[in-house]
Amino acid sequence: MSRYLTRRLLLVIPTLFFVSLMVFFSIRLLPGNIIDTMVADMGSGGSAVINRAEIMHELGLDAPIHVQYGRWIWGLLHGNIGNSLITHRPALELIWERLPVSLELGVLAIFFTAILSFPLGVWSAIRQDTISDYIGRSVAVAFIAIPGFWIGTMIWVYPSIWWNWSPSVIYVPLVQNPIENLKMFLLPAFIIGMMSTGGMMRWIRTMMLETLRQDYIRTAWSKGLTERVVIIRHALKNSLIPVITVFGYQVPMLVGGSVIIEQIFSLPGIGRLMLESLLKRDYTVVTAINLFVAIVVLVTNILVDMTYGWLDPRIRYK
Amino acid sequence: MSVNTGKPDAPIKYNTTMGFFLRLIKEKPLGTIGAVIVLIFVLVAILANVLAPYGYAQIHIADKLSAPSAQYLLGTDNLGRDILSRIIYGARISLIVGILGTLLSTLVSVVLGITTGFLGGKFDFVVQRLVDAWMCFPALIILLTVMSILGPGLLQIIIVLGVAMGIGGSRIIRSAVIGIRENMYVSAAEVVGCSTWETLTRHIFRNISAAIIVLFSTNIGSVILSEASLSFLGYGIPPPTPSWGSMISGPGRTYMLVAPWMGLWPGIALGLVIWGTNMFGDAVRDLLDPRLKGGVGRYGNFKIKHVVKQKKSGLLDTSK
Repeated sequence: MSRYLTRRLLLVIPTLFFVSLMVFFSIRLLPGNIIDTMVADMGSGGSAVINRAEIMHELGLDAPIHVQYGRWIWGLLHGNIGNSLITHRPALELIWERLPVSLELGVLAIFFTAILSFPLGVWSAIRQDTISDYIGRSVAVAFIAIPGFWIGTMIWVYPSIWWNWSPSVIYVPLVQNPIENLKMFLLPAFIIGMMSTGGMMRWIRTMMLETLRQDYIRTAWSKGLTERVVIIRHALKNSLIPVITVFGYQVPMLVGGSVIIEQIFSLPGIGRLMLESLLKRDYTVVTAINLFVAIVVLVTNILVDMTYGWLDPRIRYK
Repeated sequence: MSVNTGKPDAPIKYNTTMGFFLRLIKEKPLGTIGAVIVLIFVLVAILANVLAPYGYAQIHIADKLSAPSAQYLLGTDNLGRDILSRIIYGARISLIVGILGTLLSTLVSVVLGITTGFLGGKFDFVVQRLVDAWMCFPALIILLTVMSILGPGLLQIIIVLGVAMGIGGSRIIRSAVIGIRENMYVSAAEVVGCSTWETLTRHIFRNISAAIIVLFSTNIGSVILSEASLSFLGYGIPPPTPSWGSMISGPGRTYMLVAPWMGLWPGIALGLVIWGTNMFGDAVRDLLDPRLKGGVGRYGNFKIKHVVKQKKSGLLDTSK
């Protein structure tokens, strides 16, 4: 286990290096152009308002590329991702402010994914190629197929036309008024959960199908165990291991989905910050969000792999 | 179809295209429905200029925001453009992005997957860390950042989607290649003096062709959906070209309470097409994936158990 862990952690170093390179170069793909577009966006008086040299300096574009990279990394190590080009506040601070919203949305979305995908997946697998399976799979694929941004939009339209009801838009922090806060979060979280349920359910189904063909399942049946015990204790438990890892890999999808859903439901989370910064061409904040999200995903993946090693004895004792 | 008759169903040869579709219809009813939806979608996209009652940018300003009627079957938008015609032309955009984007992504996956899987070593190690790093970024975040730098456009979106999805998919091809490389016949081919190129094309490539088809058919839906999401956020296809995604956003949202049909129909079209491609893709995977073969129908023991149960209770006839 410790060898596996060390190996896994050592692999993080090159990955992290490439992540930093990608984030660093993404903003410098078209360095001249970025400032030009920023000036153009400001309108006629743009060039007067924006000091080119200052921005060049702020982006660190006035030094050779390797020096820029070194500086940037040095800054990162000191907890300085960079300041917003518009408000001049530290980008990390902006992200930190928005984090609770995205975190709450993510946790609720994972909860919905779990309570939807497990029953659907297991049921479909044990009734493979029957009407139940067809219905289960159609529902799961419909969850993938119905675009989140569309259902999010329609939820604003039809309830308001039919019953004069629309989701609330005023953000209330969880600590202030938990009930109002949950009212606001449940719907968007459910939609994000729906979006990732499709993939999860199919994974659970496939894993269950593979497990159900194993010899020990036949043994379990032969012992005369009830279907419930065979499915839950023998099959589900063993197919759970790969499923948990897939759950971990859903995190990037959740983040992606929350970008659109936060926008539609006006939730002030990180996804919304991303869109606002893109619109204002505040590229230091965009870079900071990219880096932040990448690190979150990286850490979740490590945690998932560690859980995998911990859950699966075959890996643990290797 | 029963296990107990002892007479197996006549095997269908599925290594031909015809046989494949016969098996699809016989074994995968949902996949067949999906295939029909995909077929209709492709036909609508190809025949858009024949089927659409009006042009996609044709403006009937007097009839703007009119509800669905005999003249405008699905209503008109805020500029008085016929929604049905725009959806029909939008199918063309979705199809172009779907096919070209998925082709590019499959190509990227195959090239990356075969080279890393077959060559292995340091090259594989470095590329895999790059792929790891790439996978740390949620797809939509990468797509938004790159599209914001490149600017909106059809070509940009195809390239960005193709490359972004291709890098992720290379893992699937790579593991398939590694699995095949371990086989005795690959070593045998090398021993009898096959060149690397010959081994690659004759042994590796042919054996992963199923994986490639599966990758293609499962990716096409998410490529179409990603284009719609980007267009919805305003980073995809610029107006007036009709994209299903952008029809739901922008004016579709501004006027959503006055003219709910503006956003309703493109979403339904999008949902149907994605559902169809996914169902078809799943069926293709199930038919081509050897791991899922063997237990056609429900898993064997469960079935037998039920047959026994039903025999006892005299309900056997209800089994299909």
